Amino acid sequence: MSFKEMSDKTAIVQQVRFKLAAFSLVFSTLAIIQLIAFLFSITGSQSSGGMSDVMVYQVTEINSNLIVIFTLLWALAIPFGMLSRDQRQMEFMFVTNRFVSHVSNLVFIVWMALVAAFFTVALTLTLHVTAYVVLDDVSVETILSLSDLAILWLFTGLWVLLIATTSYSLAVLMRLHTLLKVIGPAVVLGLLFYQTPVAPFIEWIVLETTIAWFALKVLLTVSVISLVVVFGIRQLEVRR
Amino acid sequence: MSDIQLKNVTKRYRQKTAISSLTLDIPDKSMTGLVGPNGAGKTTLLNMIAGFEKTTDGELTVFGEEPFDHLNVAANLFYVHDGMMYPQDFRIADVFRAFQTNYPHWDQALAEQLAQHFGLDIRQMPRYLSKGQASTLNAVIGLAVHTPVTLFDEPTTGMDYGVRRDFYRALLKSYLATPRTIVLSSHLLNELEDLLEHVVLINRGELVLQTEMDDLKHYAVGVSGTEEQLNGLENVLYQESLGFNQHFWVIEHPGESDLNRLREQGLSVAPVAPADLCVYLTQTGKGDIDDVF
Repeated sequence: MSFKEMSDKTAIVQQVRFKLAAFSLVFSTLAIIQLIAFLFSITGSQSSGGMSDVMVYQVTEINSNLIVIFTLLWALAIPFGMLSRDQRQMEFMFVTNRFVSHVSNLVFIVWMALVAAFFTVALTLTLHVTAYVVLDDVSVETILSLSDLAILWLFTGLWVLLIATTSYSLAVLMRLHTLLKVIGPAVVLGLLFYQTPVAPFIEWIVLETTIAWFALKVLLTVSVISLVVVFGIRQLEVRR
Repeated sequence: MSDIQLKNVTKRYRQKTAISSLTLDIPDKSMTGLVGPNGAGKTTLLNMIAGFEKTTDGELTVFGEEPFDHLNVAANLFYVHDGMMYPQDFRIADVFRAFQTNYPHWDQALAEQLAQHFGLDIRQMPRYLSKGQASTLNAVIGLAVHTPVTLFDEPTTGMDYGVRRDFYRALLKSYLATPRTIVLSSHLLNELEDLLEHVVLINRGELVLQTEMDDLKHYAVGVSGTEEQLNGLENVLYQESLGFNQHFWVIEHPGESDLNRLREQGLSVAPVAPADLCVYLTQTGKGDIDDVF
């Protein structure tokens, strides 16, 4: 029996293949969550009404905002599961180290973003068609063009990527020390809701109206976070 | 230089020291038993050798490298333990396929034959297995993975006697067919006497004894007699009072001529089984269970 030299590249490919097969439930969860959002959305996301001497009216808008919001909540939660004790036991049963583990997890997150965006676009189209067929008195205000769908796909994908990567880095940090499990979320909420240097940074991304610039800013942020995690945090033990 | 070497290795968890300045060489291509009472530090030691946990102090090398976070160590060492987890929607066949993809020396035919022998349906999902069956599946994987170093941490937990016996036999046959370094931690040393070549006994994180199994079988003898008869014996490992001024002492084997001399003095001399010896060596100062009642 010979000693086998293993390269990072081979190990990453093996781990990504394994995770794509092993984490298939992640996408089942997405499907269920989006279906719930779909059911909420079919009756209308925003509603307004009024009355005059001659009539009472109510306008209900049907859009896929809720599907996107639920998808982002899913993107926030999944990375914490990826770093659970059970998942790490499973992962370290095969050939890996901390570098390979982080890189393969981040590749999986990219795959999550692509699939989630695709699901969202598909469900948005389904929502519009279903509403048109099922509901009475539907007035079509806008017809989604191919470019609209492409923008929705890119927008959802980038947001899922940004949120899942940020969530992953937080999950990694929180596993470094027990105290960080309490301090971590508190600091994040503090940074978001109080005047801190983080607020202008978030605005810098969120308020961007050009999709190309938005994409560039998200990809830049995700790259920086990923590099910090991959090369900075390699001391996590696999406790039993 | 052996594949697994420890020099003054210490592992501390906050205030608790699990492994204390342990120096050890595990012989290559051998079957080594890691024994010791509960809390001796066996699992912690295996976790560190497998690269799951870092050492707090000292030098631990596997294939000449520090195992923590080392990819080549991970590729050439497999660790069987009761915390092994499989994907929720995987069947046993999928698990085997995943190992086949990840480990180049994986013996798929052996894995399937062993699964069939032990009554594991490869269409079954591991999450529905009983504790004993889950241990059996882990053990089958450990046998088929064929890495240069394989660690087994209490592999027979939950297995019934028949399965344990077959597992030991399969382990021996697999080892003879493909010699490799196997470290096996267990409480059941009496079942492993004919399997192991070397024994490492640890207690409270410290090395008590490292020896070959054949030497361990003749390491000590039990001597019974009155206190007056026993006083003066050297290299005493364990003492127990039997009542009515009768005592049982375990001493290091003094050589055949000295044993005959003891018999002539009216002392009763009997061999000590390795499993019992390990209990005596780690029980010092604790007294007998009868002292509780």
